[in-house]
Amino acid sequence: MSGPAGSGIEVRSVSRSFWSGREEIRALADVSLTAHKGEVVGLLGPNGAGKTTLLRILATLLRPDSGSARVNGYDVIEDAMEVRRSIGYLSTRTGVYGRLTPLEIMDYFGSLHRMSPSMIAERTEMLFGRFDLWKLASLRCEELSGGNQQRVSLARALLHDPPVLILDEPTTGLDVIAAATTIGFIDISRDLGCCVLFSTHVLSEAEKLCDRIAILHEGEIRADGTLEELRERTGQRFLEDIFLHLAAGSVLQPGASGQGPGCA
Amino acid sequence: MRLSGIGSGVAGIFRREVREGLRNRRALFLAFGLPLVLYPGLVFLFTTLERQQFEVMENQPAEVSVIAPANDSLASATIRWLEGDSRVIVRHLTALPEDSLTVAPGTDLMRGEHPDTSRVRRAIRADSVDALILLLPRAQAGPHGGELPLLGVFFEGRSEESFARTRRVTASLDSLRGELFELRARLAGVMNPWRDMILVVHDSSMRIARSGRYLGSILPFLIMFIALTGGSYIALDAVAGERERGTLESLLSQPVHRLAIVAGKALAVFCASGVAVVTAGIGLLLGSAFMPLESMEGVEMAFPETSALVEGMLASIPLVLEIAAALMIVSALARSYKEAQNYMLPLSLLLMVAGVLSTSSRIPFSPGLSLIPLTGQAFAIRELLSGGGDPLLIAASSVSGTVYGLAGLFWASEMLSGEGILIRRQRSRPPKGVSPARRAIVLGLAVLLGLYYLSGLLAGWSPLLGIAVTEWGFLMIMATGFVLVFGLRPSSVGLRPASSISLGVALASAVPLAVLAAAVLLLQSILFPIPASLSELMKPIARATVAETVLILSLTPAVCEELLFRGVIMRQMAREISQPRAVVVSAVLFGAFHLSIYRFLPTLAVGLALGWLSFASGSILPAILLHACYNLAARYLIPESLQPEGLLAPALIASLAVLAALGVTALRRGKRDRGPLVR
Ligand SMILES: Nc1ncnc2c1ncn2[C@@H]1O[C@H](COP(=O)(O)OP(=O)(O)OP(=O)(O)O)[C@@H](O)[C@H]1O
Ligand SMILES: [Mg+2]
Repeated sequence: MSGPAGSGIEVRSVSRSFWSGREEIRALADVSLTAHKGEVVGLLGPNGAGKTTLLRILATLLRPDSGSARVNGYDVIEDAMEVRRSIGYLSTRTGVYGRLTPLEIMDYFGSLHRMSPSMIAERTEMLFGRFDLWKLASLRCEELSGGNQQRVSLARALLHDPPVLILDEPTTGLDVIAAATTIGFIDISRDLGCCVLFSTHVLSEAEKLCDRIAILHEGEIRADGTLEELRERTGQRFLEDIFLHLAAGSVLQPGASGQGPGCA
Repeated sequence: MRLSGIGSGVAGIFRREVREGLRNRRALFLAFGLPLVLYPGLVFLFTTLERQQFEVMENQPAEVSVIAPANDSLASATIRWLEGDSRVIVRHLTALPEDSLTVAPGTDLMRGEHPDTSRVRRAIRADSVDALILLLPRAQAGPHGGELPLLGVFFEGRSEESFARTRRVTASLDSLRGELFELRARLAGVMNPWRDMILVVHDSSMRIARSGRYLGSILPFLIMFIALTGGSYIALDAVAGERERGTLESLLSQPVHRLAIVAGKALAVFCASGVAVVTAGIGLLLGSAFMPLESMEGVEMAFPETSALVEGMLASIPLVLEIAAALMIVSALARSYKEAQNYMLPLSLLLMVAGVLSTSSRIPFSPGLSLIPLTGQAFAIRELLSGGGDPLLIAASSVSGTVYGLAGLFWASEMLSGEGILIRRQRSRPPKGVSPARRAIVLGLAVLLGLYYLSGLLAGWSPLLGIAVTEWGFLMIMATGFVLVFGLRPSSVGLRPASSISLGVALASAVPLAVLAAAVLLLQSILFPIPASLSELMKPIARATVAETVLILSLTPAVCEELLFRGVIMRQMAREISQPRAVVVSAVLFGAFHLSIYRFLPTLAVGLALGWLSFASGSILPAILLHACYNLAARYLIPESLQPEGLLAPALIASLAVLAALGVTALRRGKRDRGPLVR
């Protein structure tokens, strides 16, 4: 399953802009980031920070303007097909095929990965058990609630047992139990040697789960390190304060909440 | 191994599309239900209407008004005859004082000209009759100077019905003529040999084949729309729908080749469209089983022979492929499902335009038509349904249709490969300002459009004056206007001195180029024979004097067209795209500029030569010289010297050799003089 030697995800000075008329929107500006195998990295940042753009570049859906990125040892441009084989990707507002049942969706994506039927059955058995999907397995997806659809999507992304997981806000819309299941699953994946990069707006998740946290703001990595390192750097104790310090420094007046750098 | 990978991807994608399609009631209705009821419904409607029409036309006598001199024996005999004929009812009778109604001198009633159209029309409407009969016993000079009686039948041909009724009037008058002839023969003691002749007019084609011809004219049109609606649901869902539901990103991040994704989806669309078409065929057969032909007296539209129907269905495969490709492109182009639905209307319009030609049985299937996307395939189906058709043409249209369809699918997969499929609104690359190439193309298209309307405007003018006005008053103004508006320097439109070598090359290659163009024209005319009416059109130009030829037919086009095409358009394009491409694109515009499909290829060839010379010499002056000399050569040398076709091949070979040699000379000189080809 694993490709050439190297870490799970390696991003080297990737930049990417979008153009709106003559105006440039710099979604990513010289971003570098590494996520090793057996490591969970959380990507935090306010809306419009560039998280989705980065994850899409890693999923080979967008091309970087400059810089390079490798996933599971494969270059996202040169070896796009190998990268796609190596990742389980969940986009932000991922959808399901309404007229298929969860079981059929698993069959479909399994066939796209050229898995054998027995293999698909085995993985589906395991994932449906874990995400508690058996009782919904033969309903059409359009009949499922949004959270249940998200569970199906997650199971689908994990179907081919990918060594690298790229998840864009995987817990958005899930109930507490499903969110906990997802977090639990990411935790287990790490122990199995997976490399996980996920974006989230739920700081507690990141705090609980992540080996390292990267904070992205206005297309730049503002901080990257373990929670401890971030605490040291910013002098804040809670992740929320660290986040506000790094990402919203320009919005919140330093010291206005009594937690500005001056108080460190 | 890679290929098999693509194959399994296709199968997976296909299966999912079909599975979802089968669970979608609306998609099912469009693919199965609609085609199944469409045809029987249509036949029912048509047969009912047509039978009504038939009864109306066959059984009702024509009502006429008669205008005739009061006391003329021939007139009163004719009126008596008409009154005694059950086919005609005389509603009004207007007696004229003798000689009160005269026909204007020079009016040729035999050719349908008549004294006063609007008066006649008003009379017909006022009397509410089908026709007006005008009897003038002494109207026109006969061949031997004597006066001949004249019988005018006027009607308003607004409907099939009025034609049919008028035919009844003329038939009645014809019998009158026969009767009178008979009478004269008997009086002269001559036995009329025609009297006992039996005249048989019979259509020997089978009823079923005739109705195939009738059906063939509308069925291709219907097939297009059945295929369009049948595949539309799956197609729009395939890309636009996936984007909207948020599954497209997941799909594109799977290890499946883009071509496989498009192929799988297109296959599903193709199958849905094909199923719809086949279902329509089955509906047709079922219809024929329930509505026996014999019961439909007077109704031409029925059912084609089964074998013709099967052939027609087979021939619709390329058509369905093209439509599937068009649907996929629409789906990939649209930002959302709704937008894709909005595109369906223009797409239907396009199909309508492409398909409507084949519904006219007066337009014959030709090689040119067979190569037009959609149209050619519709024609092939038409021919097969009416039980005939040139197999070569049908093969040509099938092959070209398949090629267009596959090219369309390839385009769709290209769209899916780019990241543009995810980013729609914003451009992903910085804008470079308005591109000069695009500006040049817009200029070229504007010239074409302007020329089209201008040629209509100048239609009544003398051709030479028309050319002079078009060239100086339109092309020159467009070219100089462009130069002034965008502040181009004279040298950047090729207005700079040229080496004497390049001028020499221009002079020497005029005649060979004219031979080449003539050869292209000749080869082309084997495929597309040039209608005689077109060569008629060129007559006034062929009669031009030497001075007119030099000034208006040679120098004027050379200066104006070179400045526009080679000076402005080609050089502006070359700022962005490579020189060979700029030459080709400007030559295509130059060919199109002559506004005739028959002159397109020859002028394209000339345009290529002129463009190449212009770049190789770094100036438009040699191209102007070549253009002027070429026009002279084409006017004076070629028509006569190439008459014996045997001479063409040697002349062509010699010309190509000379052109090649000259080309190489110009290239080498150009390189030595100015380094690489001038930008
Ligand atoms: N397809 C696109 N076209 C144009 N601009 C885009 C596109 N995608 C993203 N952007 C721009 O890039 C910037 C980063 O967007 P991105 O979606 O990566 O942010 P994000 O961190 O995922 O935000 P959120 O937390 O709201 O999901 C934004 O300013 C956005 O406007
Ligand atoms: Mg996002």
